[in-house]
Amino acid sequence: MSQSEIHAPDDLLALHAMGDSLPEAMGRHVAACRQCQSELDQWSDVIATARSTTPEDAPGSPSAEVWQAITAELGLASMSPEPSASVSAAQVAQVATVVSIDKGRRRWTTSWLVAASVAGIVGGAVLTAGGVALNGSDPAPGPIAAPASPVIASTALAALPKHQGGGEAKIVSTPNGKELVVDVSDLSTGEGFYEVWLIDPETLQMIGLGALSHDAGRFPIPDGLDLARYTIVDVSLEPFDGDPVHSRDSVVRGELST
Amino acid sequence: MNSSAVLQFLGRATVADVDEQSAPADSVGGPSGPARDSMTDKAVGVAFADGQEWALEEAYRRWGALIHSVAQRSTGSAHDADDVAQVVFVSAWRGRHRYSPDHAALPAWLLGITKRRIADHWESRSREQRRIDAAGRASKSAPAAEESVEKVADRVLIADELSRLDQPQREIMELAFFDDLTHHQIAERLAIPLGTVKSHIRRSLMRLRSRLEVDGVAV
Repeated sequence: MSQSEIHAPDDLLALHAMGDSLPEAMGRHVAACRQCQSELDQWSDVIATARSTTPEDAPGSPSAEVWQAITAELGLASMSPEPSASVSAAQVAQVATVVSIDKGRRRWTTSWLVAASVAGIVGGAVLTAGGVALNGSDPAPGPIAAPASPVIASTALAALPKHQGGGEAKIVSTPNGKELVVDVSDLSTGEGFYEVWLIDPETLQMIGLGALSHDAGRFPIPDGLDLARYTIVDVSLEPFDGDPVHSRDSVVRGELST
Repeated sequence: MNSSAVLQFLGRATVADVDEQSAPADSVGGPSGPARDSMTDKAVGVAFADGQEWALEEAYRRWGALIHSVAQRSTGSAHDADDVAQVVFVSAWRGRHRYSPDHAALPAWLLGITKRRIADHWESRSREQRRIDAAGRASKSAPAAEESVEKVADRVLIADELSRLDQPQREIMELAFFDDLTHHQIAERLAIPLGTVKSHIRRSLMRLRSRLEVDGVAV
């Protein structure tokens, strides 16, 4: 078989469509080969589509009434005793507060990608949050659920990319001051331990509240800490390296709201 | 930890705040929440075709936002998109015996229905317009005519798939697509070997393409 009859590998064509040059002989082949050209065109289409995505392509989820209307029209009313009950992802997406804390130059790309993910075309975050909500419906008595302290603010904790798990965090008022109550499940495992943080999304300052040794923990909040600023609850995986700063390896996160 | 490192790590935050009310009751039987979450799209499709009601709920949960986004981008109206989404899921459920899980992925099939419903939507709009337009002038072309539903769906699917790339793949693709950096520049910027950058790009492109091929509009 002569050189010119060997088609260019798919992955090289993909990179070529992104601007990489091909080895000379292969370049000559591709220029003359219909099959390779067609393959190249398909890659170019994918790339052009990706480049043309804009913030508006981030999905807006259907209103809550849509699911009700569907079940009503199909006579499946029994499926959904409460409108919110069945539509976890859409529901979560609808009430989700999307927070992008990127202060960097790619602010819009990141924030719309986050929006896309949260709004939940099967976005990981949303599904995780949905899963949490499902777990949340189970009565889960335990040291954490028991105290009937007034809840000041709460949030679901959703897994960050690469991670799994979910849970819930709330700020409760106790006779001894405010506490952050964290309840998690199925967290990604790894070398090290989990640490709970409160983060101010504006200044990116963070306060480490302590290690989370089991699926639940209570953390006293220092008097005077401005909870209106430190609204992000973050659980990170920290290596046993003696370094007190955040490892940058966050597992789950959520934003407190009252 | 320097401030740019903090920025970088915080920039990837995905924060969802879940209403306390939204604890779902598993009212339709079928697999329970976590088990259902881990089911493949194909398994949901098979159960859907089989008429298991929980699969309709799950399909809506997984692809309701996709259908709605495509409809909203095509009709230009969130309200119309709600209508389209409703009609799509209702007609999909009623026509579920026509769905063959071996032939197309369920989201692709749903997008095919979406495409036809959006066409219906514009046809009825244009009929209305013709009635209103006593002078009989040609009605204005619908925004949907400017861009095919397939193209809109492709963009929404790609946007979704990009949002699901892990790091550093996602950052690499953002730099390549939106900041127009060359592979060399990306390697320098992120202090990653050039070969690694290329292999991430190659794999991410494969993922994007296969998402389009699997979930893109079925005819």
